[in-house]
Amino acid sequence: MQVLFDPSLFWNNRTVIVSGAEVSLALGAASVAVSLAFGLAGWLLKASKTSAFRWLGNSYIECMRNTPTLVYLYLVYFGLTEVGVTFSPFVSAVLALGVQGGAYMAEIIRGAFNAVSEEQRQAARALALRPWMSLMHVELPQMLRVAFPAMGNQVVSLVLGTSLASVIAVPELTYQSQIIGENTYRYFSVFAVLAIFYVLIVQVLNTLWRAIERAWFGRWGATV
Amino acid sequence: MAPLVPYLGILLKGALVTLGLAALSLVFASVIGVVIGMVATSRSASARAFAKLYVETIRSVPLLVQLFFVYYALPLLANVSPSPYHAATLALSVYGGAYMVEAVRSGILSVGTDQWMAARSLGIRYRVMMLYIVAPQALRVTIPAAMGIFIDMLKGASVTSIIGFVELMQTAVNIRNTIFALSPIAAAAVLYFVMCFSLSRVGAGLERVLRYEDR
Repeated sequence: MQVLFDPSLFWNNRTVIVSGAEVSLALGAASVAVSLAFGLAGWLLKASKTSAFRWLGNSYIECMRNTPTLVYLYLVYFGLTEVGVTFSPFVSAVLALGVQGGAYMAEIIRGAFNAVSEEQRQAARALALRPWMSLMHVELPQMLRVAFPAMGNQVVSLVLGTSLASVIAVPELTYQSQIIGENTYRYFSVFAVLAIFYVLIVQVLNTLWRAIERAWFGRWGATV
Repeated sequence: MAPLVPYLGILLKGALVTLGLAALSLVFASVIGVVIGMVATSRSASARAFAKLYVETIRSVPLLVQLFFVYYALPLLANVSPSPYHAATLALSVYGGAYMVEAVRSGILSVGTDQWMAARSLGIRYRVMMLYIVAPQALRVTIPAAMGIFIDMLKGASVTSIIGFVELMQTAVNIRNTIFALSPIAAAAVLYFVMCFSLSRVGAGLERVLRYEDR
């Protein structure tokens, strides 16, 4: 019977572990950025006055929300090579996670837009603000306030989703842990520490998010 | 698309395996949800802290890592070596259970404290109150949420392919490796969509039927 928990294992593999953690965080950050862009685009399509655009936005959101992330990872990774485009595993993962996350982001943004009352828009129009000025100065700040907590949850679930990128050999932390586990058979130590890593990241993100929320919107209270 | 035709049968079978795994795990997750959900609304602060620890830990660790833990690390802890199917069921149940706890908890909390106090002042015992007063009202909140959790578990079941359980996702990947075409993955996507979308419609319908505030 080997020792269950072996600290020296982590010291011996420290370079791999640190680079894995870096890739995980970079993957998470890039996916969040892509999902914001796609979320805005998806919302604009869904809120469009042209019915064809609305249909497109709806289809995008429903397709992404009703299929597992793995499907998109495989589709992007295997599929784009078939049409002659080759992305690195990292870029494939960013695209798959970001485009799918965008659908959830679009729904969050739509909810926030609907939460800002119609009177605010009318008041802005009455003050002769053009629609885009009203959006920039009146609606978007309030939308951000409404959407902020939900966006935090979405960021967390994207960061947790990056672990799936290990299946297309992105050298992030889950992938590196698997390799260390296979080489040493110290699966308990490796996966226990991996789980703790994710718990810590989520705690840090949640704390950070709440701090930003207090700093930006603390004075607003609950009002929109 | 043509080379895919002979494989459509096993793809459908894969979809049924996925549904079966998710449904069985949903049953276990519901049991966990009800038990820990009651712990999460109990008066004992330490019991509530325990429930919170379970929910927060499970929700802060990717399902894949939980699967790896059950499949690779559990055999080192205890003298068991679960099959991929058993590991998948266990991990998915514990995962879904954490979300179910929240659904049950918010259901119980949706029943106003005045009803609790009324029941207590009538001398109704805890078990009777829970069963006949709280549960029927809590279910109106819990059931629609449970549908959403079931859809998440159905999608999460695809992750079990990574520990070698052959369900819809793994079936599609196997076919792809045989015929070297993308169509099996696309077909799996369609099957997932059909399952999840129809379930979400059912969930929305249930939510409409069960809502009573604005009637």
